Amino acid sequence: MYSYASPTNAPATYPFLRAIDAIHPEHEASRDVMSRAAMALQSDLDRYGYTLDVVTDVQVFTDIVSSVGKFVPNAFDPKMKPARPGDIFGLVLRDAEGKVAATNGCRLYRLGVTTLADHLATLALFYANPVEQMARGERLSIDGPANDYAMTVDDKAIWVGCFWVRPDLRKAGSNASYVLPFAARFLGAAWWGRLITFSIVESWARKQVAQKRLGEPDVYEHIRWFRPHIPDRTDMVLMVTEPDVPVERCHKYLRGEGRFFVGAPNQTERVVSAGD
Amino acid sequence: MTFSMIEVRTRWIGEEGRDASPMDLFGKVNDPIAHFVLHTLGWIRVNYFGQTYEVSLDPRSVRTAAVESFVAWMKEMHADATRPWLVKISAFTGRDWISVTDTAPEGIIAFLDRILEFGKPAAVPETLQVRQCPLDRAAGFGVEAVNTVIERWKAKGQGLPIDDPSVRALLATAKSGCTVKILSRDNIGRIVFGTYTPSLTTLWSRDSWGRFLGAPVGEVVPDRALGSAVELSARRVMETGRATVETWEGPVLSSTGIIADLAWDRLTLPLTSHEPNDAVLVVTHRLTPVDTDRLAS
Repeated sequence: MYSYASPTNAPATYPFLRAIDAIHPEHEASRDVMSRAAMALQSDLDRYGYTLDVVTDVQVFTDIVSSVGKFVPNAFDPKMKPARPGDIFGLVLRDAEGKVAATNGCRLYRLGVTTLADHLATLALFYANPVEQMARGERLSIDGPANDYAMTVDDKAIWVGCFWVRPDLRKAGSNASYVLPFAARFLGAAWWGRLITFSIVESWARKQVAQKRLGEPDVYEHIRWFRPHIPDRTDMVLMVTEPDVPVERCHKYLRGEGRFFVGAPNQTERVVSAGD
Repeated sequence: MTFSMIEVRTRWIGEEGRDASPMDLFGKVNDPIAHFVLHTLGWIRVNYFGQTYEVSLDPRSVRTAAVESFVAWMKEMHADATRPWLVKISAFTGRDWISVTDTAPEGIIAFLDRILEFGKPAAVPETLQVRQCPLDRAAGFGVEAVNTVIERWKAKGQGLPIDDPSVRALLATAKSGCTVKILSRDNIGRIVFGTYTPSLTTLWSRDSWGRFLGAPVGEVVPDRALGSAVELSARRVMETGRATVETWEGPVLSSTGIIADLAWDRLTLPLTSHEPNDAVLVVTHRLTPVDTDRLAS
């Protein structure tokens, strides 16, 4: 029997665990490992008195993201690109004092019969009605490997965004920059099944260090997004993680890799037995 | 005024069908934890006082072993005619709870059957029609090596190895008439291509099937719905350990983006790689356009 018993000063509620609900049938084969990884994550959060809130009201989530000074992309802007209820969530990590420590969010895109490349090139990914909502002169061009890949993505895909970690928790301060994207992709997989997750980020993400921090996604060039109001930030890349990555991360987490820590990694406890 | 106190107890039936407790997992119980073990882990909750039971489960996640254990317990209880009982069973539909109340197991079991059917994922996409056929239909493939593999499998029982000479011979000889592939479960439970030997009538371009080796079936097959169906079928054969012959029929999206209505026969036979039945041999025969006149009639 495995145990995820928490220290007595643990928070009283477990919003993240509660939000998982029934794991999507496409992950049926991985249900055990996903459940146990979620419990292990919850146990780690408890150890530091942290809570992981799941916010399904997009306006509440974007207010939190804005309050920390992070730019809110249109994917999470209900005025620009409204989402159906149940197709979007935000994660808010709070420290023991209740202060926001990190944020990350996911949105399910229902692409239909057209592809991700089509939705990007027409700006439909960012605007409900591009020609009426986009900035005058705004354009997006996609070609090369990014286009080749995005042309293969249809039906559904998950956008990951609004990623922010409080400065004191970056680098050696904690590994929230690994755990939050892991938790976001985990919950996306549990809710919506085996789908790719993607985001469009500025091309600095090509750097190896940044890729590692974000969990080694696949990076595809070239996207040029011309926005008249920010003319010096046009070079973008498509970052993708494949559908089984969240499950692989669950296995790693249970092996003790990437366990949540604040301050210094806790090497002493392994809550899951060998053979995971 | 007179007050009375009733002690309501809770029993949890865990995923393995045995009594379990969230206390053992978390050291405490609260509402989110109860929600997690019920909806995510698939436990069954039984609140009871005296011989009155309130049972809650989520058909989307409840485990077969837990249901079997509950039914066995209820039948055992019913066998004692001296102690009448009442069960209110509630199942979560994804939106709301529905429930029935009964004093005999038959009504509860009928309710369980119906509600668990709702929780099952679809076996194959609705557009694909699958008909089970007797195993000897595979003889009609006209490939001697297929018959040899089946004979070897029957002789070996559950343990035909993945590198059995008959399997290797089939892979080597089946290039023209049949598509032959071996699918296996990888270390994180995905169904992946082990080998793929295309036939002359294969749907997939060389570019497509060139990427198959080692890749998850559900991701790499150009028609994702078909890939998912193949994956489900492989899992079913791995679980049951029984070889199947099926006729599949329906629209399939080719590598070039063309949708064709096709029909084909399919043998799926369990193999042993590292542990019993952790791989399957799949032989696909006669990929032919569907007879549209017959369909119209």
